[in-house]
Amino acid sequence: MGSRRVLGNDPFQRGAAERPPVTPPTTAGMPPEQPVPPERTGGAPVRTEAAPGPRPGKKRTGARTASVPATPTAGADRPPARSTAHERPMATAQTLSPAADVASVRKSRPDEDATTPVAPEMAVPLAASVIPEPPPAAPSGPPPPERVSRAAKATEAPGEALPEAFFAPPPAPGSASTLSWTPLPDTTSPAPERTPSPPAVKTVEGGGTLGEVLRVAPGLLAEAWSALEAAIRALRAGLGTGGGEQLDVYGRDTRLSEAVAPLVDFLYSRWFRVEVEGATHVPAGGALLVANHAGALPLDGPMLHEALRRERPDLPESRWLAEDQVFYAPLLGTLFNRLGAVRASPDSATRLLAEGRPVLIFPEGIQGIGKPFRERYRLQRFGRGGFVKLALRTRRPILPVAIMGAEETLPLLGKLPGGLLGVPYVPVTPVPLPAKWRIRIGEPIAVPAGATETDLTVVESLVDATRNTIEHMLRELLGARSGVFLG
Amino acid sequence: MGRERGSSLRVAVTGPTSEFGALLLPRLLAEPRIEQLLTFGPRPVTGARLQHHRVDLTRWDVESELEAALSERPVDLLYHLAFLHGRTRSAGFAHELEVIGTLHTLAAAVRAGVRHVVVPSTTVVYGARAGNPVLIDEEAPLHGSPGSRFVTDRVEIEKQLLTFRRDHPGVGLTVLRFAPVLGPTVDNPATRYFRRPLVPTLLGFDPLWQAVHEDDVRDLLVAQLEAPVSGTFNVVSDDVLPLSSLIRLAGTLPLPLPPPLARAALRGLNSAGMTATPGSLLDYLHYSWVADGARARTRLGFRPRFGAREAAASVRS
Repeated sequence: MGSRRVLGNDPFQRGAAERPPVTPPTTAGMPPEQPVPPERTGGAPVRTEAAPGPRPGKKRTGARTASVPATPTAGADRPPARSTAHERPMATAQTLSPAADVASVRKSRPDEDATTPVAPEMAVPLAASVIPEPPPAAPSGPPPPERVSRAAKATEAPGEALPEAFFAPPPAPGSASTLSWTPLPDTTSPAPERTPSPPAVKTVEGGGTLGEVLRVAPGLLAEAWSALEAAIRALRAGLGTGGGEQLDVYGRDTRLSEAVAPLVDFLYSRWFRVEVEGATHVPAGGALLVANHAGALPLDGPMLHEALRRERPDLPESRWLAEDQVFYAPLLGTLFNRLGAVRASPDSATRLLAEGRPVLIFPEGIQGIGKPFRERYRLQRFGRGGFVKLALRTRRPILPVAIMGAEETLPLLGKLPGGLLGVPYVPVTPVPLPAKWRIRIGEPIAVPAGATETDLTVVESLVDATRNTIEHMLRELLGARSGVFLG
Repeated sequence: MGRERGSSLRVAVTGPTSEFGALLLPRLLAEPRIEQLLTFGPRPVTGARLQHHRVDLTRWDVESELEAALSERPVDLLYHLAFLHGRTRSAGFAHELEVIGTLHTLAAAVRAGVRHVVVPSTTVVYGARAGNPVLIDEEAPLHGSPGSRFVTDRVEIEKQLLTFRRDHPGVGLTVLRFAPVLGPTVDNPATRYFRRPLVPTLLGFDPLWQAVHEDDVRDLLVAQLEAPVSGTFNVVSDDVLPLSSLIRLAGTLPLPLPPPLARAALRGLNSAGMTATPGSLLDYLHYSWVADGARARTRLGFRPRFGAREAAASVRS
């Protein structure tokens, strides 16, 4: 039951079956029926799958890991989903005890915890869920340095299991439930990006808990305070009462961007723990970064913008294009404009590209952010191919970008009528949840020489190529994810 | 067209007491290069080398009056500045003066052999719309603000000017589309807006505005005396500011109103006859309307001394 539902949500089943990914890495020899644990590719460290070890309370892992030996290296990406995928067992969060999972997480990675920044807000729910309940004895005793097995990759976003998995205290249930622990003989250091452990656990667990709390608390408080100040400043700017004086013609306010930097920084590095792959693919001289669009409020624009700012300081500052429904939404649109959103239109994009900027495009537009949560990671129609025509006209490359995490950050739970506010609908969504974000920037898709934007065949094939590549990368990211909140 | 140097310029001005006329006239009177200055307007003005003709541009026979005066003392350059910026309740009179007056003036100028006409306009004619490009250039369509008689008249004048340019290529025509002109002395809808103790805005919106200081306007108008350049030009500040910043710089306070409430309130006030501000003007508080000043920079050499920041601050009285 669960698997059917989950995989019904798998955005890639139909689309992938109809349109194989443009750059299918190595799926050729792999039987599609085999639930292969996909590996993250593209620079991420290869995760070895070890023999199924003792996993407290993990029903699904047996079936999953049983398949591992069939593909020992498991370097391949998951094949395009077939109908057989429906039969796969799945991990549902509700089958697992959150506390037990958190405990296993905590026990298993003491080394990582020490170095991981602590998100203060995460401490409370975690502590609450962990402390009272002593961790069930891990069958194998204190595990050696371990890694997250990527076994149950694509299934960690359960459809029905969602409420529990999703709205429970942030990092505990949904994420930990899908972890499985495998001894790792060669203790190759876990990639730094792979340490999204719930940091507060450390504080809870450590011997001098109180002392440690007292030691880090002032810094955290200061950080929280500056983030709050930034949020107030951002709110005033959005309401249209606190405009700045250092604006460019697009409306970006340099001073405001600096002022809200603590907030953006907090969201980026602490709350979403954004990890970026492939930032080196972005060429100088302007490029179109085409990404999937998600979240009831589109935070993916500012986060991708921030990612480029951090990873590629050598490039001119990027701008993201916002659909009219967002750009002219009260408060949000105004604030986004001050932070770097530009109204999506060919003329503004051309202007931005001529300035050599990376231009961030979300061709799904309002359909991407307006789809219900159960359709997460299912790509919508890619506009009308405007971005391809733009690329053909400006001769700038298209870079497909897959963003994972935005869907779960602000799930769209419902829509209220928004006529009074002048918006298509008012999204019903919780506060931004600390889902783990991963952004993968793919290789540039070259624009064929000599093709023009009037060649509709070329336009369509490029749209499809971009869409399929994003779909494929999303699949990989989702497959490699062990939990919504842990990543 | 070559114009002789020295004290040889022959200039005519319509609307010497209008907003732009009042800005420009003192400078023209002090201008040694001007040999003869004709003015046409309802109220008398005086000055050395100045000959005033009392005309009413809304009269049906004003065209022949103008033509006779311009033929009697030929001029090289005509500033057509007879536009209303003050308060008027009579939309009919405004229409007659601005649209029909422009029609008469242009016709008389052609028949009297005027070599060049300078007409001020406004970037308001582009309209504030959701679909506006980042920078609106001079070739963009003039959407105006369909509910507003004032803006619609300006758009109509622009259309006349376009026709005039096409039909009379021998007559030079400079159209200067100014961003809202702000300054300590000017009185126009924009300055009145920024001089309110509480400036109504739309909650949740903060559109990008431009402004131009009255001194820069004056300098640019004077600069057209010699070797004027035909064409249409956006005349804007180099900087762009959100409306709320302009309000703050002008020394007053924004009063953010929820947009539906603001529109409903304005409709109610208009129905009651208490205001004559069409609701469509709220679009200028809602959407950005930023004009591209590149052409004026390159072809007119327009280098404003003041930015929108200083222009807004100069409104403060």
